[in-house]
Amino acid sequence: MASSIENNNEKLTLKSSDGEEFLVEKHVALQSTLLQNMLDSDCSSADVIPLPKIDARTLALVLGYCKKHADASSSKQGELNSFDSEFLKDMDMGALFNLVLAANFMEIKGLLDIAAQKIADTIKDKPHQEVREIFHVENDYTPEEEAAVREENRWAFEGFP
Amino acid sequence: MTEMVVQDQDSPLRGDILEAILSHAPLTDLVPASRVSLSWRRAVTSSPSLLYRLEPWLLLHSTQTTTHAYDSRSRVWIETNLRPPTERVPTTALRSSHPNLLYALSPSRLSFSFDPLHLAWHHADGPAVWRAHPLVALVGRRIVVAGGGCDFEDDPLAVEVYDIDSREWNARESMPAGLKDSATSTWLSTAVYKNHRLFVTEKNSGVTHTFDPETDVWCGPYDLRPDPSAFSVAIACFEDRLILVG
Repeated sequence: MASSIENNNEKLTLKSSDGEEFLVEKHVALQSTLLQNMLDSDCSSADVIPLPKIDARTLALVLGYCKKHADASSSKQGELNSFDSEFLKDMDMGALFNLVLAANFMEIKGLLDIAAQKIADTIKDKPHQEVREIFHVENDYTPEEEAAVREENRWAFEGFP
Repeated sequence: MTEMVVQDQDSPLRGDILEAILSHAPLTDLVPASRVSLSWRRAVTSSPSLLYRLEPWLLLHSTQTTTHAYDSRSRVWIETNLRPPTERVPTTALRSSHPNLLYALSPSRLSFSFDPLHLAWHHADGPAVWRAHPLVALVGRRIVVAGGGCDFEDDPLAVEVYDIDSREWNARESMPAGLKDSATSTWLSTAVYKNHRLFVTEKNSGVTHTFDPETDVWCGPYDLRPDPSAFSVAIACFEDRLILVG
């Protein structure tokens, strides 16, 4: 029994929405404020922590990020930066969305920042119609409302017909 | 990807997530973003995280054909169409004066603008005295044009004030005689304190005079330098503090 408690202190098990279990070292899990709070308030006595909103593919990515950042010493900021940019490179928009949602849910600020930045970069210099297509957003403006918004910001719309 | 979004009823980018993403977007992209949908517009207009991070723009007006704005929040230069009306304002004569006055002065005309983006331009006749490189400053609702007189018979220290509301020029008390040899913007640095007092500092000597256009009184000289060995002095005003750099 004692060994099991000791074991719990060093590792914990996370379960993705699709049922896959991940054994995670505690110092890696501490990258997530959500998990840190759970550990602090001793909710971790449960053997397995379910993360019902995060699928296995995304969770594996998140934990990869956490492990890198937990293991690197603060003196290796340059290395972490290049890891971060490499980490998101070539990632499709769906995976990025899932990553942002997971980082937001698990409260991993660094990951949320870089993933949000990556998505924001795709909005850059794009007209609103294109943004709608990329993000599958339904245009719920009435034509009158849309005309009003256009008029309000007319000075900025030159070049965006 | 498409399936995931459809299953989700609408885009996963909502609420906090959308705000987190938009807070990383350059400010200029928030305008098209606000046209995407009502919820995007709400995220743009009501998000405190976006508004708290607003920072002033640095506007760079070149004498060529473009005006650039630097948005320090998004760290991008934006080419803007914020141009002075070039048919009336000769861009080669365009000058700026702290804090936010943009002007072009010719013998026959003074054109100026002091709103944040310089969208509104005012045009007035030129001052009576022909000047080269005078001090020009916006003090309250008055434009002070001082020094720079260069005709042989003109007083090099002449001061004239244009009242924006009455649209009239008035000759005022000349600058102190001590500034006789340095009465141009080349040698003097100016600051406007609390919209009512003009500080004029000689760059070489650090000697400072003040002028109140309301009472038409010059005061000074003062030496504001904490360290008398400071040279090449510039003065500025930020909120209610004077800043002296040398």
